Amino acid sequence: MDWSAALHPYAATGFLTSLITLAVGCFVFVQNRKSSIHLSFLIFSIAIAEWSFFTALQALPRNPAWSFLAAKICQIGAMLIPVFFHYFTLKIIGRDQKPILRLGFLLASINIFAIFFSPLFSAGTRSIGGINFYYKAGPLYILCVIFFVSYVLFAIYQLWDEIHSSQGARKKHLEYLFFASLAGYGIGVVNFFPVYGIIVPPFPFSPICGAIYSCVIAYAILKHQLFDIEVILKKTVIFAVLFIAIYSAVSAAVYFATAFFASKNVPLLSGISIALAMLLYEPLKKTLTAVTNRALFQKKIPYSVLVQNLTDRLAKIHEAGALAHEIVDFLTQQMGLDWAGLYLKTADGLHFRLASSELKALVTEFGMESPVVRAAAEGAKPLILSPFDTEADQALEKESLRKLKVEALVPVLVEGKLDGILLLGKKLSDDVFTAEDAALLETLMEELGMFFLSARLLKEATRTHLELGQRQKMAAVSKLARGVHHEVRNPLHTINLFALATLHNLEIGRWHPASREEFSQDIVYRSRTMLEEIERIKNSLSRFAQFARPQQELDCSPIRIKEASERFLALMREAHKMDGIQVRLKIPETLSLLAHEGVLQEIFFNLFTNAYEAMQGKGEIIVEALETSDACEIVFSDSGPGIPREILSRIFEPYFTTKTRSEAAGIGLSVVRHYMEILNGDIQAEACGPLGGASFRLRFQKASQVAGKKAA
Amino acid sequence: MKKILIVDDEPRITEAFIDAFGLDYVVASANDGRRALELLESFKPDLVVLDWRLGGDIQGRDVLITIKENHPHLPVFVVTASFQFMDEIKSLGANSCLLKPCTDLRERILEVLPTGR
Repeated sequence: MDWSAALHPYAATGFLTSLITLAVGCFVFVQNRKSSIHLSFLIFSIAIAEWSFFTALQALPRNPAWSFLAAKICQIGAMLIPVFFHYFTLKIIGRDQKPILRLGFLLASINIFAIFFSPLFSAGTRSIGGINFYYKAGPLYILCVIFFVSYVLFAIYQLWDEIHSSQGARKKHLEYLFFASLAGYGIGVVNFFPVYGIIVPPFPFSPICGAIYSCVIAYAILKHQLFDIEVILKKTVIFAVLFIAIYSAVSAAVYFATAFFASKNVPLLSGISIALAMLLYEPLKKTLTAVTNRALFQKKIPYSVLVQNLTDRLAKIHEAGALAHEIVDFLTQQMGLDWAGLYLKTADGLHFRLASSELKALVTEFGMESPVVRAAAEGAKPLILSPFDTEADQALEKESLRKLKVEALVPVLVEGKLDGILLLGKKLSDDVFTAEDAALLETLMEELGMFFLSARLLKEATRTHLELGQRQKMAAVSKLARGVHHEVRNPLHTINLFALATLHNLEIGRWHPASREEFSQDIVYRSRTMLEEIERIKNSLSRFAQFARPQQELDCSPIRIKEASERFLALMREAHKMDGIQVRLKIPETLSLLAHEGVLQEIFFNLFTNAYEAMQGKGEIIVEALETSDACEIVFSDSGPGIPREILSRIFEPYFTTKTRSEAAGIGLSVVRHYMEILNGDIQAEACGPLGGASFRLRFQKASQVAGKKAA
Repeated sequence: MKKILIVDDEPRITEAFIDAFGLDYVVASANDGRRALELLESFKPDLVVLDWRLGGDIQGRDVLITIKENHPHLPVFVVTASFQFMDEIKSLGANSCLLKPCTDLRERILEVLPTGR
């Protein structure tokens, strides 16, 4: 063997082509061993690799017989290349032409047999272009050339035909393959001329056409995700460029350093080199990543930013429908889609109904038996349709998705169960969904599940809270009703007895003039008492009505606390309720809260009455108002006996009282709490306040929030 | 004259009862269960008109049970403001269970304690 001949351009390019083509074919196959497209491309690549390897090998032997043998073996690849190219093309375009393929294999086999054993096809070797023993064609070898060229043209024509019936991303893919094949075979056919002793440029570099063709197909893979080896090749490209860049930079630094410094200070030079490499590495890597992404991998969106932006927006939304709308809107804009729709499982679990859609969706609901639902349920990750997906795996489901003009399906899983289906249409740019798109969608799939789970939990908690609140309200109303029942019937009983007494007195003649004055006094007394009892009934009924009525809108407005308190105290003085009670106000002049004037007076009245009764008409009350960061508080404290700690939790219950009997006993504080709820505030009680008695802290909305706001 | 013991924790009710029936009967009043049991022994009424809901630790129920144990022939009218206790009141032996306000109270009392007026 003449190993130096390996450096001959023809041999070198041949070996290089063989290596590159085989590597690309293997990469493709490894990504999806089950795909017949991937397999057909590997077989095609092996044929090219075989041809280029042996065509290079024929330049090495010193013995013409070995060169001749290598050349004939090379012709095996040459005859199989068009057949496997046709097979690969059929897989891409999804056609079945088995009879033609069989004919192609038959003709190729006949040619190979003839080349090996017939001198009419293989006439020996000749010296040409620096190669000592190059294959020499016989007179009938032209039949092989005709076979090769016509079969390749036939396969390319199939591509051309399919292009016309395709559109969108598929059409782009096919066009790329078409022109790449034209270029590759256009150059490759030049390799037939030397067998006739004719040198046509780019000979002796012509075997490189195979490598170029493989690289072009590889570029198609990168650009259009024809196959999925993007990540591996990206890292290879970045590493290679990084290595070259840093090596060059360090070498340049060392060169200039040695040029300018007379003494070669190795540690210093090494330190400078390493520092330079460290400085260059990170910025260069970032730049290369961005450049390769933009130029080669159609990634125009910084996906980490996109995911972060979307999750930030979703974190503020707690309702499933609003989440759906935000997701669809965001993805349509950011990924440049022509359509997107999110379907959520209905409450009965029998359907997936369209929750949100950009543009009009073709279908608004899927049943559980729908192929779309099956496709979503079967996959643990997003399903992305390829324009060349001719596999039988999930064929029915994929066909259904294609009919809906869907190119990607993302299942939304909540607690491991399918709860929603996100369907994405094609990209407006006609680009297909890349591997990075798939990774993005997979990340989103996990995030979306968490957001929908959160929305569901919040909805259940709210409903439970509302039901609980409703049950508590109904229980309170029921108790209140019983109390009112009692508070109405007792006064009526008193009125009834006094009426009976009056009637009986009249019947037995007590109206007689001798006892008239006494009778009159009795009538006056009874009448006054009956009127008081009627007033008692009226108050009970109105309090019940206030408590039991549905919460309605109140026009709240800013109220200056000090002025309102002074108005209230004036009313109490008129009603002689202030005798024996000293009231101190510790309220800033301008402090305001958001409330309804009448309701606020009712609250003051109930608290004042409570304190008055607790102090038995004598004592001290302090009303203090202060402003916190988010509320306005009034603290109402008395000098009464305080509230026993064991009953502190019950004092706001309707008709809960420790007193033996009193007018409308036990309802005042429950009314106060009810009013505070209406005003979107709350009330807390302390058993022992600053004056030693009870203390109540009321939180109101600040007047600075919204003036005239309506409270629910 | 026949004697009636009126038991109710509302003073106005006992006052009004005395006003209505004090001319025809000797009426004593108690505003709690303990006083009622004391008067039961000291006053020895011919009829007890008893409110079911009393303040304090001795309720109308307790008074009724005590009366029926110690004075089984003493008629007791139980007066209540609520329907829900009627079955229990009857089962404990009350002669009559009346809902407030009882507009035919006089007729019912006269049935048990005629005045001869």
